[in-house]
Amino acid sequence: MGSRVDEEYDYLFKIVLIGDSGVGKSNLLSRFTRNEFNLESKSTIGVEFATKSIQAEGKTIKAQIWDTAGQERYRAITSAYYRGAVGALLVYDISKHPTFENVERWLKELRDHAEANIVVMLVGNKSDLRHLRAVETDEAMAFSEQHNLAFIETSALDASGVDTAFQRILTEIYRLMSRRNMQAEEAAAGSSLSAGQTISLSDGGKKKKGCCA
Amino acid sequence: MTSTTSVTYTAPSSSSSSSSPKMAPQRRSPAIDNLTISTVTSNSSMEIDLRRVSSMPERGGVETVMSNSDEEDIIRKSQSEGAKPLLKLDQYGFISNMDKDGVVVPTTDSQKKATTQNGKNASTTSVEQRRTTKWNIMLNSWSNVMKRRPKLVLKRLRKGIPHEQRGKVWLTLCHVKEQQQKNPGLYESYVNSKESPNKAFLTVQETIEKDIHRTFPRHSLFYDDGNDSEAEMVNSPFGGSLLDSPDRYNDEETERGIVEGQASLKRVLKAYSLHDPDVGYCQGMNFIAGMFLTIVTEEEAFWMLVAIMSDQPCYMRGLFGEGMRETHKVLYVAEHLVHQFLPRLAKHFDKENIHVTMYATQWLLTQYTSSFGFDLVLRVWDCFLQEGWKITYRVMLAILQEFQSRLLQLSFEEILAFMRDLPERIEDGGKLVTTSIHIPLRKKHILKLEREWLAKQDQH
Ligand SMILES: Nc1nc2c(ncn2[C@@H]2O[C@H](COP(=O)(O)OP(=O)(O)OP(=O)(O)O)[C@@H](O)[C@H]2O)c(=O)[nH]1
Ligand SMILES: [Mg+2]
Repeated sequence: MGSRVDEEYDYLFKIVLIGDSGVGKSNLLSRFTRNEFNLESKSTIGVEFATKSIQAEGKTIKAQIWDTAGQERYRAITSAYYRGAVGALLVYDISKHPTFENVERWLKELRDHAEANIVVMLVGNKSDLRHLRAVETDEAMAFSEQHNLAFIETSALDASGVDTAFQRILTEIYRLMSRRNMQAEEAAAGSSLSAGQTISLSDGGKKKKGCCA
Repeated sequence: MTSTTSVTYTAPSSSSSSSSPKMAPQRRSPAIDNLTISTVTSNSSMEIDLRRVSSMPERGGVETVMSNSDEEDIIRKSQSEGAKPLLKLDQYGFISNMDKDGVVVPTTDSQKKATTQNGKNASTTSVEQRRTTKWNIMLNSWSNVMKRRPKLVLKRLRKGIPHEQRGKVWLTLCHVKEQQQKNPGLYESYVNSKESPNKAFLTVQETIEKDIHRTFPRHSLFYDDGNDSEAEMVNSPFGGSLLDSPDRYNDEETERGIVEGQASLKRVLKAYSLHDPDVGYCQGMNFIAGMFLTIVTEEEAFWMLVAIMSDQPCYMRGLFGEGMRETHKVLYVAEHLVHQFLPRLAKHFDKENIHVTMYATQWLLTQYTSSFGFDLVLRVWDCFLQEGWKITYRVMLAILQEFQSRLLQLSFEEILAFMRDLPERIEDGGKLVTTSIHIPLRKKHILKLEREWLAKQDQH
């Protein structure tokens, strides 16, 4: 909106939120970007979008987050949005075991449609529903280690873990990228990515540093 | 939704007697839902039984009834001591005195508003009355009028059906009575069916379950005033009320824990999933079925859903089935129409990498029901049921046109943020639909693009 002036940022990372319907993806997004939670949030039809900037290792990183519909058949529409994403939050609901069982299928979906080196974080949401817990933390932890995923539990309702989840995945992407850049720089003797360069490759990622509304 | 009519109170006895006899009686009774709300007048709190008749086409939906507070069966425990504010409904049954967090806020000026409203509306009522008369005449000789003067019918549909007659006209357009006569007891049998619960069926029912309390929670029919006080939970998200009642929304076996309107919606969607197993249930259908329920009875809503899914001119089942094939088609057509009719905006969108799928998927897939005001939605459907997708595209173009000068100034992120709040920016949805009719979009434009899309599919 006209009034909201975009801040400067050093990097722009595109992140996708995926996982079964009803696990709380849209609420994780609204909690992180607007600090809002909504018990009556509509199921996402297609995709939704929001951004937020954070600080990591002295850099301003802007996350461009795509929230997708969870129902399986919507993948026909949403998988196009995986392109160019450097990170994915794969969300399940700790109170519904089937949503955890489906994580494998979501991983396959990423393998089929996303970049090969996408950073994936497994997110067990609704940690506030303690007495309804159906997925033990240990079980999810073991799974994530086995599949080389980062892991965290969150509650969009009471906000615990939400900022940390985004902060961690963005920081990790940043580190990986600077390591890759360094290697690239060594290889190409300095003719490589630098701060201010847009990392997200596709949709609308053309915005340059310091550009405002 | 500009006008707000405050609820009118009549004697309880008159509430359901006038309802149409079309409905199977077993299903009919649960469609009447009791909702008790109390309000504080001076210092005594009084109970009001909001007897909601889920669907009465002749009456345009919601009716409220005042009763004595000693009708103990309908007084909910949580309200007997606390004073909950009175629900104020707009003409479509949405709760207008509810804040952003879903909390009903007290209204002190409701009476005052109602009177000024009446005064203001005096001149428009006579127009309304004339239109009502016209529609009555038309309905009485429907098949004749349809055969002889289809253009006139379309013209009147495009002006909007008077709300009290809307249900009747919609049912006629969708041939619901004929369907019901041809298939007696079919709806009942779906509702009562205890199919061998195979995995696909269970997945469908679970998905439906997830959407039931996420469909029009601000409409009086679906509003969950909550024995467990949802409002309280929203007020204090850190509080324990949600945690104390875990099974409230997770009740697979019975319909305890959801309000009657939600139960109706669940039955309609379940019945449809059995009727058309290839489609089953797709998210988005809940808004369409829910919107029907605010206009017609439960079984009628089911038959309307059947009609719009599998009959021309709406034919929506291709959008919702596995693979959502026709959704791609519709989005393809939409994208090209934006280029054709709003070239400047399309160019700007191209430059900013804005694609139609980013903002219009839910507009088109749900025919505007999921996020727009009912002043717009119902007018779209008045036309959609008769002329199909032309109105859908026209309204999309009209919306974009309305905000074009704004959108042209915005960048990628700002555009998407703007689109998210866009439905609330529309001041007069009815007017927007009227404007859209003048967009020179012809059926042949749509057909051409559809053929183009089809040819592209064949190539792949
Ligand atoms: N208790 C609790 N409920 C939550 C939490 N996060 C989301 N919910 C609720 O779970 C339901 C679904 O949340 P959404 O954010 O809409 O889920 P989603 O993953 O976006 O679902 P789709 O858009 O259908 O894919 C809503 O009723 C939320 O209020 C949480 O952390 N704790
Ligand atoms: Mg969502």
